Amino acid sequence: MLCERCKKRPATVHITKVVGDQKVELHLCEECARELRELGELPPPFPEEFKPFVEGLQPFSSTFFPLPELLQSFFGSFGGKEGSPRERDDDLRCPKCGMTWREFREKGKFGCSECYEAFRPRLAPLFRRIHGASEHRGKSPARDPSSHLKKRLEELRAELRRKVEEEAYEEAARIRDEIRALENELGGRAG
Amino acid sequence: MAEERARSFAPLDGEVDRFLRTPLGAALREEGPEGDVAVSSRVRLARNLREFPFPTAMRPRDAQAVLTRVESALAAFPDAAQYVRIRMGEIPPFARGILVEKHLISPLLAENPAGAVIVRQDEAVSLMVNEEDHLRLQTFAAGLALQEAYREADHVDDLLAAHLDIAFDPRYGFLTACPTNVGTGMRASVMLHLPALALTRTLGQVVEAVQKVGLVVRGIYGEGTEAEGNLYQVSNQVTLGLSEGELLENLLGIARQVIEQERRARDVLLREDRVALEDRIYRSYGILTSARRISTREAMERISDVLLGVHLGLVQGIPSRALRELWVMIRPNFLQYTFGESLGPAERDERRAVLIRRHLKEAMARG
Repeated sequence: MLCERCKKRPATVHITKVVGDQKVELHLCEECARELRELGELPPPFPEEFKPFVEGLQPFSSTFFPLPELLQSFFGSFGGKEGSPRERDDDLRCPKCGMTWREFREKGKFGCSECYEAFRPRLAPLFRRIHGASEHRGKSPARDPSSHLKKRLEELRAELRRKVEEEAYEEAARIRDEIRALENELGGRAG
Repeated sequence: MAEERARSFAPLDGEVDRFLRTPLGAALREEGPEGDVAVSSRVRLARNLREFPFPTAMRPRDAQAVLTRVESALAAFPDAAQYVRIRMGEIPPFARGILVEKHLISPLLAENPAGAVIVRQDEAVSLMVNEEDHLRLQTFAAGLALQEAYREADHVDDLLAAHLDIAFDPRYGFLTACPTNVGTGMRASVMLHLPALALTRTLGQVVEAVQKVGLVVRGIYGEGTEAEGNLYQVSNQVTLGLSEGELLENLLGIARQVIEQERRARDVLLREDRVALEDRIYRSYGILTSARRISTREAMERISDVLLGVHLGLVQGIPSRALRELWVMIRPNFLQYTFGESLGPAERDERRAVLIRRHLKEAMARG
């Protein structure tokens, strides 16, 4: 039996993928299987004898303590025991909700969004302990009601390119119409 | 006395009643991608309004103001008519219990009379108001569908942000009551059914490996609950320093590997001792269809066995949906509401057995 993907080498890897309630059998050669695994389209091979499969996994954060231990290790302990001697607990107070750094340490919860400003000098090390990072890299709030339409438009355009490449012209036409409708809704000129 | 007890589980009005009687919303009825192992995917975004103290520190009138703001933001949604608002203070404890049993709300929200949940009719979107944060937006999708669930959450999040002043800091991202949620405010999770890993005693290793790479593994009813019915929730632990897309990719990659481990364990069981596996599955089937008294815990295990049988093609004629529905239907609050009366523990075990036999019979008749 030849590999379904390259149709050149013998198929030695047999994989069952489940899509909905359909089972799909894949018969691949080692090379193609490895390539698909690297692309993330296939799960990694099963280690012999149920060896823990941790070897292939890349940690993506430096801290994996459960939270209570984490906060304790950061703050010394709950219940407001002294932290480091040079840390004066009462010198930081949130002007909006009145929470002090000491209270925050005891509760482990902020009182309001203003606390982040009030405690700013002490937060970066705390966040690094919890998340292994102290800078946000994700989305920002959209103040623009049409932003989701724009996102959808981007997705559709990418999909359209894929369909054209796959020569699925009927679906491409359907997507093109959807894009036009969206562009009209946004009041933009058709590009 | 008996009358009083019966009244305590009396039916509620129309819209809320429908949520309380349907074990699975439209979003979760059919199996999704990798549905033989992945039951469902959930994405939760934590958001706060800049203007008010966080729920842990706010006064009742703040809570009301937050709810009013959120409702007026929702009124501008194109599909606003699809959403139903349920205030915790306005429904009896058992009704709150059912919403928890269905994962539409958290136990914490259920205990807060100033809390509310706004649920979309198909139960793919649930918006908790005044939980630990002002807003906890949750989206659900069947099977392993994290990207789809996130797309929906992202979309609803944008609609809300267009009308609300969301607390956000350029350096720290979305500001949350607990420092463990800051940044993306996102907790994504996949519910996995892992009976074969449990049977082959390899679950411990897998769980340990998953935890080593910074993901959290828990039983299905959240923190500190042990797994029932071999159902496990795998979710991201870190919320700051990575983008939503990166966090989802990480979780997806690991979830795929766990799913593959489970499938291999199923193959091993079939290969090594098929008769032992069949014996276990058919005994559980026999108990579910014949028992006259059954506890929640035992029922969860037996349902897990039969569902494994369905996915291995050993059990015919029972749709997996019927079993996934039972997982919700056998829980104490849902059960008592179904029978419309308050029941003691022994009565519950009897009625649970009745309900399971009835539900499976109906499901098999429908085919």
